[in-house]
Amino acid sequence: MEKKYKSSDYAHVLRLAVILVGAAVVGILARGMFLPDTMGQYGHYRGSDLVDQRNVEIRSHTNESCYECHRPIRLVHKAGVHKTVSCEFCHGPYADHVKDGKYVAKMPVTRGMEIKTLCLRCHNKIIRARPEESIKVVAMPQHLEEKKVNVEHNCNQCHMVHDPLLWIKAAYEMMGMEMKEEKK
Amino acid sequence: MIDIQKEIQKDRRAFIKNVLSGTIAGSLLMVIPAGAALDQSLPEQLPGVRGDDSPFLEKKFAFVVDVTACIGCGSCCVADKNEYNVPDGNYRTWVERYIIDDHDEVFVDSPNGGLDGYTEERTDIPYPVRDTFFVPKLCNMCEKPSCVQVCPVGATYKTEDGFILVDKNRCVGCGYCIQACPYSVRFLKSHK
Repeated sequence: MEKKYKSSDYAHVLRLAVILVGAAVVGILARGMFLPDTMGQYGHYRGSDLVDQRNVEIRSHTNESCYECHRPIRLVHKAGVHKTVSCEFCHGPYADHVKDGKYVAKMPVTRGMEIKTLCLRCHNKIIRARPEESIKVVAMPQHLEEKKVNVEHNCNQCHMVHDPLLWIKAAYEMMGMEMKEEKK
Repeated sequence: MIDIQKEIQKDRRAFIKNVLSGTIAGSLLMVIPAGAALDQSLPEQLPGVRGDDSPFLEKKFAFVVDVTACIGCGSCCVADKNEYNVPDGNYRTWVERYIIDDHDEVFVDSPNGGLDGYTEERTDIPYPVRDTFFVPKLCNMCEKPSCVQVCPVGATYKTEDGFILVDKNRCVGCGYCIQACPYSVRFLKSHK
Protein backbone atom coordinates (compact mmCIF):
# COMPACT_ATOMS: atom_id res chain seq x y z
CA MET A 1 0.00 0.00 0.00
CA GLU A 2 2.74 2.43 1.03
CA LYS A 3 4.73 1.71 -2.09
CA LYS A 4 1.76 2.51 -4.34
CA TYR A 5 1.26 5.90 -2.69
CA LYS A 6 4.94 6.73 -3.14
CA SER A 7 4.94 5.92 -6.83
CA SER A 8 1.95 8.18 -7.47
CA ASP A 9 3.72 10.98 -5.52
CA TYR A 10 6.65 10.80 -7.92
CA ALA A 11 4.36 10.53 -10.93
CA HIS A 12 3.02 14.06 -10.55
CA VAL A 13 6.52 15.46 -10.10
CA LEU A 14 7.59 13.63 -13.23
CA ARG A 15 4.60 15.01 -15.14
CA LEU A 16 5.51 18.55 -14.06
CA ALA A 17 9.12 18.03 -15.12
CA VAL A 18 8.03 16.75 -18.54
CA ILE A 19 5.76 19.76 -19.03
CA LEU A 20 8.51 22.19 -17.99
CA VAL A 21 11.11 20.59 -20.25
CA GLY A 22 8.57 20.55 -23.08
CA ALA A 23 7.80 24.23 -22.59
CA ALA A 24 11.52 25.06 -22.53
CA VAL A 25 12.12 23.15 -25.77
CA VAL A 26 9.16 24.87 -27.47
CA GLY A 27 10.39 28.22 -26.15
CA ILE A 28 13.93 27.72 -27.45
CA LEU A 29 12.65 26.53 -30.83
CA ALA A 30 10.26 29.47 -31.13
CA ARG A 31 13.03 31.89 -30.18
CA GLY A 32 15.26 30.42 -32.84
CA MET A 33 12.48 30.62 -35.41
CA PHE A 34 11.13 34.10 -34.74
CA LEU A 35 14.18 36.11 -33.69
CA PRO A 36 16.39 37.40 -36.53
CA ASP A 37 19.73 35.62 -36.80
CA THR A 38 21.84 38.61 -35.94
CA MET A 39 19.67 39.74 -33.01
CA GLY A 40 21.91 40.29 -30.01
CA GLN A 41 25.12 40.17 -32.04
CA TYR A 42 26.28 43.51 -30.63
CA GLY A 43 23.44 44.35 -28.24
CA HIS A 44 19.67 44.22 -28.01
CA TYR A 45 19.13 44.89 -31.70
CA ARG A 46 19.47 43.28 -35.12
CA GLY A 47 23.18 43.34 -35.97
CA SER A 48 22.54 43.11 -39.71
CA ASP A 49 20.61 46.40 -39.54
CA LEU A 50 23.99 48.15 -39.34
CA VAL A 51 24.66 46.88 -42.88
CA ASP A 52 21.17 47.95 -44.00
CA GLN A 53 21.73 51.42 -42.57
CA ARG A 54 25.05 51.73 -44.39
CA ASN A 55 23.44 50.87 -47.69
CA VAL A 56 20.80 53.59 -47.46
CA GLU A 57 21.44 56.07 -50.26
CA ILE A 58 22.89 59.35 -49.05
CA ARG A 59 20.83 62.13 -50.59
CA SER A 60 22.39 65.22 -49.08
CA HIS A 61 26.10 65.81 -49.35
CA THR A 62 28.25 68.64 -48.16
CA ASN A 63 29.48 71.64 -50.09
CA GLU A 64 32.76 69.85 -50.80
CA SER A 65 30.89 67.44 -53.09
CA CYS A 66 29.38 70.33 -55.05
CA TYR A 67 32.76 72.05 -55.37
CA GLU A 68 34.13 68.94 -57.10
CA CYS A 69 32.50 70.12 -60.32
CA HIS A 70 31.52 73.72 -59.57
CA ARG A 71 35.05 74.99 -59.23
CA PRO A 72 34.58 78.70 -59.95
CA ILE A 73 31.81 79.09 -57.38
CA ARG A 74 33.97 77.28 -54.82
CA LEU A 75 36.47 80.11 -54.78
CA VAL A 76 33.75 82.69 -54.29
CA HIS A 77 31.63 80.77 -51.81
CA LYS A 78 34.49 79.52 -49.65
CA ALA A 79 35.99 82.98 -49.27
CA GLY A 80 32.78 84.78 -48.36
CA VAL A 81 30.57 85.19 -45.32
CA HIS A 82 28.14 82.64 -46.74
CA LYS A 83 30.73 79.86 -46.53
CA THR A 84 28.76 78.16 -43.74
CA VAL A 85 25.56 78.08 -45.81
CA SER A 86 24.92 74.71 -47.39
CA CYS A 87 24.56 74.69 -51.19
CA GLU A 88 21.70 72.23 -50.81
CA PHE A 89 19.64 74.59 -48.66
CA CYS A 90 18.96 76.81 -51.67
CA HIS A 91 19.52 74.36 -54.54
CA GLY A 92 18.09 71.05 -53.26
CA PRO A 93 19.68 67.71 -52.46
CA TYR A 94 22.73 66.44 -54.30
CA ALA A 95 21.07 63.11 -55.18
CA ASP A 96 18.47 64.89 -57.34
CA HIS A 97 21.30 66.31 -59.44
CA VAL A 98 23.95 63.58 -59.63
CA LYS A 99 23.42 59.80 -59.60
CA ASP A 100 26.32 57.32 -59.71
CA GLY A 101 28.67 60.12 -60.64
CA LYS A 102 26.54 61.22 -63.58
CA TYR A 103 24.46 64.32 -64.11
CA VAL A 104 20.74 63.46 -64.04
CA ALA A 105 18.72 66.63 -63.56
CA LYS A 106 18.97 70.39 -63.33
CA MET A 107 19.01 71.92 -59.87
CA PRO A 108 16.41 74.55 -59.04
CA VAL A 109 17.77 78.08 -59.14
CA THR A 110 15.89 80.79 -57.34
CA ARG A 111 15.24 83.78 -59.58
CA GLY A 112 13.43 87.08 -59.51
CA MET A 113 11.71 88.31 -56.39
CA GLU A 114 11.85 84.80 -54.91
CA ILE A 115 15.46 85.62 -54.13
CA LYS A 116 14.26 88.28 -51.73
CA THR A 117 11.98 85.79 -49.96
CA LEU A 118 14.85 83.35 -49.68
CA CYS A 119 17.24 85.97 -48.28
CA LEU A 120 14.69 87.22 -45.78
CA ARG A 121 14.11 83.70 -44.51
CA CYS A 122 17.30 84.20 -42.52
CA HIS A 123 18.00 87.93 -42.61
CA ASN A 124 14.61 89.36 -41.70
CA LYS A 125 14.90 91.77 -38.77
CA ILE A 126 11.25 91.63 -37.74
CA ILE A 127 11.81 88.09 -36.52
CA ARG A 128 13.54 89.31 -33.41
CA ALA A 129 14.62 85.92 -32.15
CA ARG A 130 17.81 86.00 -34.20
CA PRO A 131 21.02 86.43 -32.21
CA GLU A 132 23.24 89.21 -33.59
CA GLU A 133 26.35 87.08 -33.11
CA SER A 134 25.04 84.55 -35.61
CA ILE A 135 23.66 86.65 -38.42
CA LYS A 136 23.35 90.16 -39.82
CA VAL A 137 19.69 91.05 -40.00
CA VAL A 138 18.10 93.78 -42.09
CA ALA A 139 14.72 95.44 -42.04
CA MET A 140 12.97 95.83 -45.37
CA PRO A 141 12.50 98.32 -46.94
CA GLN A 142 14.39 100.45 -44.39
CA HIS A 143 17.68 98.89 -45.47
CA LEU A 144 17.10 100.04 -49.06
CA GLU A 145 16.14 103.55 -47.93
CA GLU A 146 19.18 103.72 -45.69
CA LYS A 147 21.46 102.71 -48.57
CA LYS A 148 19.69 105.27 -50.79
CA VAL A 149 18.64 102.85 -53.50
CA ASN A 150 15.29 102.22 -55.16
CA VAL A 151 12.98 100.38 -52.76
CA GLU A 152 11.96 98.10 -55.64
CA HIS A 153 15.49 96.69 -55.81
CA ASN A 154 16.11 92.99 -55.39
CA CYS A 155 18.79 91.73 -52.97
CA ASN A 156 20.99 90.29 -55.70
CA GLN A 157 21.27 93.65 -57.43
CA CYS A 158 23.80 94.74 -54.81
CA HIS A 159 24.76 91.47 -53.15
CA MET A 160 26.26 88.52 -54.91
CA VAL A 161 24.23 85.69 -53.42
CA HIS A 162 27.17 83.29 -53.02
CA ASP A 163 29.32 85.88 -51.30
CA PRO A 164 27.10 88.82 -50.30
CA LEU A 165 29.90 91.25 -49.54
CA LEU A 166 32.05 90.53 -52.61
CA TRP A 167 30.79 93.41 -54.76
CA ILE A 168 30.28 95.69 -51.76
CA LYS A 169 33.88 95.23 -50.69
CA ALA A 170 35.08 95.75 -54.26
CA ALA A 171 33.05 98.95 -54.54
CA TYR A 172 34.47 100.31 -51.29
CA GLU A 173 37.96 99.47 -52.48
CA MET A 174 37.44 101.23 -55.80
CA MET A 175 36.21 104.33 -54.01
CA GLY A 176 39.14 104.16 -51.62
CA MET A 177 36.80 103.99 -48.65
CA GLU A 178 36.94 101.83 -45.57
CA MET A 179 34.08 99.52 -44.71
CA LYS A 180 32.38 100.12 -41.42
CA GLU A 181 33.21 97.49 -38.83
CA GLU A 182 30.14 95.48 -38.01
CA LYS A 183 29.02 96.12 -34.50
CA LYS A 184 29.24 93.06 -32.32
CA MET B 1 75.70 69.59 -87.66
CA ILE B 2 74.73 67.78 -90.83
CA ASP B 3 74.33 64.58 -88.83
CA ILE B 4 71.82 66.18 -86.53
CA GLN B 5 69.88 67.57 -89.48
CA LYS B 6 69.81 64.09 -90.95
CA GLU B 7 68.65 62.57 -87.70
CA ILE B 8 65.81 65.01 -87.47
CA GLN B 9 64.82 64.35 -91.08
CA LYS B 10 64.91 60.64 -90.45
CA ASP B 11 62.93 60.83 -87.26
CA ARG B 12 60.42 63.43 -88.37
CA ARG B 13 57.78 60.77 -89.03
CA ALA B 14 58.43 59.11 -85.66
CA PHE B 15 58.43 62.48 -83.92
CA ILE B 16 55.06 63.50 -85.36
CA LYS B 17 53.67 60.08 -84.49
CA ASN B 18 54.82 60.43 -80.89
CA VAL B 19 53.48 63.93 -80.51
CA LEU B 20 50.12 62.99 -81.99
CA SER B 21 49.63 59.89 -79.87
CA GLY B 22 50.78 61.77 -76.80
CA THR B 23 48.28 64.52 -77.43
CA ILE B 24 45.41 62.10 -78.03
CA ALA B 25 46.28 60.03 -74.95
CA GLY B 26 46.64 63.13 -72.84
CA SER B 27 43.32 64.58 -73.90
CA LEU B 28 41.63 61.22 -73.34
CA LEU B 29 43.06 61.06 -69.83
CA MET B 30 41.58 64.46 -69.18
CA VAL B 31 38.16 63.46 -70.49
CA ILE B 32 37.60 59.86 -69.34
CA PRO B 33 38.04 59.95 -65.57
CA ALA B 34 35.97 63.11 -65.15
CA GLY B 35 32.66 61.27 -65.31
CA ALA B 36 33.61 57.72 -64.36
CA ALA B 37 35.66 58.39 -61.25
CA LEU B 38 33.51 61.17 -59.83
CA ASP B 39 31.75 58.95 -57.34
CA GLN B 40 34.97 57.60 -55.90
CA SER B 41 36.65 60.96 -55.86
CA LEU B 42 34.00 62.59 -53.68
CA PRO B 43 35.80 64.33 -50.87
CA GLU B 44 35.98 62.59 -47.55
CA GLN B 45 34.02 64.45 -44.90
CA LEU B 46 35.38 62.63 -41.87
CA PRO B 47 39.08 61.85 -42.27
CA GLY B 48 39.97 58.19 -41.80
CA VAL B 49 36.44 56.86 -42.11
CA ARG B 50 36.36 55.84 -45.78
CA GLY B 51 37.11 52.18 -46.35
CA ASP B 52 36.54 51.29 -42.72
CA ASP B 53 34.25 48.26 -42.94
CA SER B 54 34.20 47.36 -39.26
CA PRO B 55 30.68 47.53 -37.78
CA PHE B 56 31.59 50.42 -35.50
CA LEU B 57 34.03 53.20 -36.15
CA GLU B 58 36.81 53.78 -33.69
CA LYS B 59 35.76 57.38 -33.32
CA LYS B 60 33.01 58.29 -30.88
CA PHE B 61 30.39 60.72 -32.13
CA ALA B 62 28.32 63.25 -30.24
CA PHE B 63 25.66 65.67 -31.42
CA VAL B 64 25.83 69.24 -30.21
CA VAL B 65 23.32 72.07 -30.68
CA ASP B 66 24.20 75.62 -29.67
CA VAL B 67 20.71 76.90 -28.91
CA THR B 68 21.96 80.45 -28.37
CA ALA B 69 23.25 80.62 -31.95
CA CYS B 70 20.11 79.37 -33.71
CA ILE B 71 18.65 81.83 -36.24
CA GLY B 72 15.57 79.74 -37.04
CA CYS B 73 16.28 79.42 -40.75
CA GLY B 74 14.90 75.91 -40.78
CA SER B 75 17.63 74.48 -42.99
CA CYS B 76 18.00 71.54 -40.61
CA CYS B 77 14.31 70.79 -41.13
CA VAL B 78 14.70 71.01 -44.89
CA ALA B 79 17.78 68.77 -44.85
CA ASP B 80 16.07 66.19 -42.66
CA LYS B 81 13.04 66.06 -44.93
CA ASN B 82 15.20 65.73 -48.03
CA GLU B 83 17.40 63.05 -46.56
CA TYR B 84 14.94 60.75 -44.82
CA ASN B 85 11.70 61.31 -46.76
CA VAL B 86 9.89 62.50 -43.65
CA PRO B 87 6.18 62.57 -44.54
CA ASP B 88 4.26 65.86 -44.44
CA GLY B 89 2.90 66.58 -41.00
CA ASN B 90 5.60 64.58 -39.22
CA TYR B 91 8.74 66.19 -37.92
CA ARG B 92 11.96 64.60 -36.79
CA THR B 93 13.53 68.02 -36.83
CA TRP B 94 11.59 71.12 -35.94
CA VAL B 95 12.29 74.59 -34.63
CA GLU B 96 10.18 76.41 -32.05
CA ARG B 97 10.01 80.14 -31.53
CA TYR B 98 9.74 81.28 -27.91
CA ILE B 99 8.54 84.75 -27.03
CA ILE B 100 8.45 85.93 -23.42
CA ASP B 101 6.69 89.20 -22.68
CA ASP B 102 7.42 91.49 -19.74
CA HIS B 103 4.57 89.88 -17.77
CA ASP B 104 6.56 86.64 -17.98
CA GLU B 105 4.03 84.98 -20.20
CA VAL B 106 5.52 82.56 -22.69
CA PHE B 107 4.28 82.24 -26.27
CA VAL B 108 5.51 79.32 -28.34
CA ASP B 109 4.80 78.69 -31.99
CA SER B 110 6.20 76.52 -34.73
CA PRO B 111 4.38 76.94 -38.06
CA ASN B 112 4.89 73.74 -40.08
CA GLY B 113 7.70 72.79 -37.71
CA GLY B 114 9.83 75.65 -39.03
CA LEU B 115 10.12 73.89 -42.37
CA ASP B 116 9.14 77.01 -44.30
CA GLY B 117 11.19 79.28 -42.07
CA TYR B 118 9.87 82.16 -39.99
CA THR B 119 8.74 85.03 -42.16
CA GLU B 120 5.99 86.67 -40.14
CA GLU B 121 6.23 88.61 -36.92
CA ARG B 122 3.84 87.54 -34.18
CA THR B 123 1.32 90.28 -33.62
CA ASP B 124 -0.80 88.73 -30.85
CA ILE B 125 1.59 89.48 -27.97
CA PRO B 126 -0.28 91.82 -25.58
CA TYR B 127 2.72 93.26 -23.71
CA PRO B 128 6.21 94.36 -24.80
CA VAL B 129 8.50 91.46 -25.58
CA ARG B 130 11.20 90.84 -23.01
CA ASP B 131 13.02 87.99 -24.67
CA THR B 132 12.68 85.90 -27.77
CA PHE B 133 14.69 83.00 -29.12
CA PHE B 134 14.55 79.87 -31.25
CA VAL B 135 14.77 76.37 -29.84
CA PRO B 136 15.79 73.76 -32.41
CA LYS B 137 14.49 70.31 -31.57
CA LEU B 138 16.38 67.58 -33.32
CA CYS B 139 17.29 64.02 -32.57
CA ASN B 140 20.09 64.77 -30.14
CA MET B 141 21.67 61.31 -30.33
CA CYS B 142 21.39 61.26 -26.54
CA GLU B 143 24.05 59.76 -24.34
CA LYS B 144 21.35 57.82 -22.48
CA PRO B 145 18.51 57.71 -25.00
CA SER B 146 15.09 57.16 -23.48
CA CYS B 147 13.67 55.92 -26.79
CA VAL B 148 16.20 53.08 -26.77
CA GLN B 149 15.40 52.29 -23.17
CA VAL B 150 11.67 51.86 -23.78
CA CYS B 151 11.86 50.01 -27.10
CA PRO B 152 10.68 46.46 -26.37
CA VAL B 153 11.94 44.84 -29.58
CA GLY B 154 15.30 46.57 -30.07
CA ALA B 155 14.15 48.50 -33.12
CA THR B 156 15.71 51.71 -31.78
CA TYR B 157 19.24 51.17 -30.64
CA LYS B 158 22.47 52.92 -29.90
CA THR B 159 25.61 51.87 -31.73
CA GLU B 160 28.92 51.69 -29.94
CA ASP B 161 30.19 54.76 -31.80
CA GLY B 162 27.31 56.90 -30.59
CA PHE B 163 24.52 56.87 -33.19
CA ILE B 164 20.87 56.25 -32.39
CA LEU B 165 19.42 54.27 -35.27
CA VAL B 166 15.97 52.94 -36.11
CA ASP B 167 15.56 49.47 -37.58
CA LYS B 168 12.45 49.92 -39.72
CA ASN B 169 12.07 46.15 -40.28
CA ARG B 170 12.10 45.39 -36.56
CA CYS B 171 9.67 48.09 -35.37
CA VAL B 172 6.26 46.83 -34.26
CA GLY B 173 4.77 50.33 -33.97
CA CYS B 174 4.02 50.33 -30.25
CA GLY B 175 4.78 54.04 -30.05
CA TYR B 176 6.61 53.97 -26.72
CA CYS B 177 9.50 55.94 -28.21
CA ILE B 178 7.11 58.73 -29.22
CA GLN B 179 6.09 59.15 -25.60
CA ALA B 180 9.60 58.77 -24.27
CA CYS B 181 11.42 61.28 -26.48
CA PRO B 182 11.94 64.56 -24.62
CA TYR B 183 12.32 66.48 -27.91
CA SER B 184 9.19 65.08 -29.63
CA VAL B 185 11.12 64.01 -32.68
CA ARG B 186 9.84 60.45 -32.97
CA PHE B 187 6.82 59.64 -35.14
CA LEU B 188 5.08 56.67 -36.74
CA LYS B 189 5.16 56.55 -40.52
CA SER B 190 2.32 54.53 -42.02
CA HIS B 191 3.13 52.10 -44.83
CA LYS B 192 1.02 52.94 -47.83
